[in-house]
Amino acid sequence: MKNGSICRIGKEVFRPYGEYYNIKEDNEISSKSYHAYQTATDIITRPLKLGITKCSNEKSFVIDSMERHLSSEEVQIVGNKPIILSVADSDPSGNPRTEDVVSFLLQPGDVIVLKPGIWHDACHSTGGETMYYFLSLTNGEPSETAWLSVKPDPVSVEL
Amino acid sequence: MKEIYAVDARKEACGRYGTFIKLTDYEAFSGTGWECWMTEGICIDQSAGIGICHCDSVQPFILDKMKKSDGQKLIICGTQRMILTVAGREDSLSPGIDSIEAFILNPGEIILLQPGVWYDICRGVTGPVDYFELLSGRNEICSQIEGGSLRIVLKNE
Repeated sequence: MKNGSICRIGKEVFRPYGEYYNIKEDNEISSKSYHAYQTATDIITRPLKLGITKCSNEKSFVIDSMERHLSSEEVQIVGNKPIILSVADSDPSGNPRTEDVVSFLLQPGDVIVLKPGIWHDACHSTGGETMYYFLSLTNGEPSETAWLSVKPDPVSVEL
Repeated sequence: MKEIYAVDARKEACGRYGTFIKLTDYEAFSGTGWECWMTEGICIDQSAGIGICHCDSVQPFILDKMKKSDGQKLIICGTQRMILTVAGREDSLSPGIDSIEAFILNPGEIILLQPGVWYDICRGVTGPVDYFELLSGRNEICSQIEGGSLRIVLKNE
């Protein structure tokens, strides 16, 4: 099994997989009782479905399968705790490849938009249970939500 | 000062303001260490930016002004219960005190407000809250409540 590492996310390093935004760098509206931030541009550009994922894991986890959506981008919004997003830009017509798997640390305030066809795992927690939010709209083909094994070997990640 | 109770959000009660969905009512998909729920249909049909809000204010609280937008606003409850105040979207320059309602949103629940609905920031039921929004409008106005301030409380059970 390969040992994976966790990378810091940024616009340039994430570009092969999609777009990265830090909402807290954009517009801020504050008062003594609240702080609000809003992206300067529209991130959702077409009608999408919304999902909520609840995740929890131990101090290490294994990436043994991934999914990809050929017909849709996927927007992910970090909840109130950091999460780990694992992706691979392997050929979407095959399996996700061990050597292509990359894991990114995302913080509250981070938003990413995965390009269509990018392999991805469900995000992992960095400690305890957490929730994150995602948006996509596939064409409904079974292959769009099929989970395929990482080949030739899974990837183990230590927090 | 007039006082109203915050009540649990329900599909029918929220219908005049928009669409309320409890995602965890749907079938969950799961894998090792994760579980997810997804809306059956599209959640917002306009282009939208993304917002996050942290509010330290907790019930009971005083409401004296509200806002409305020219676009849709999808509110996603975070991990803590929170209170959303809304008022009808008649074409008015200010929300009327008798038209305001307060709804409790729980983790796993979302509400899509239609353009023109009056709203304010969400406050916590038991503590500070973080929540998330999809925002399609670019013009927002803020107005004092017509008829005075309103106290929002939780009903003692």
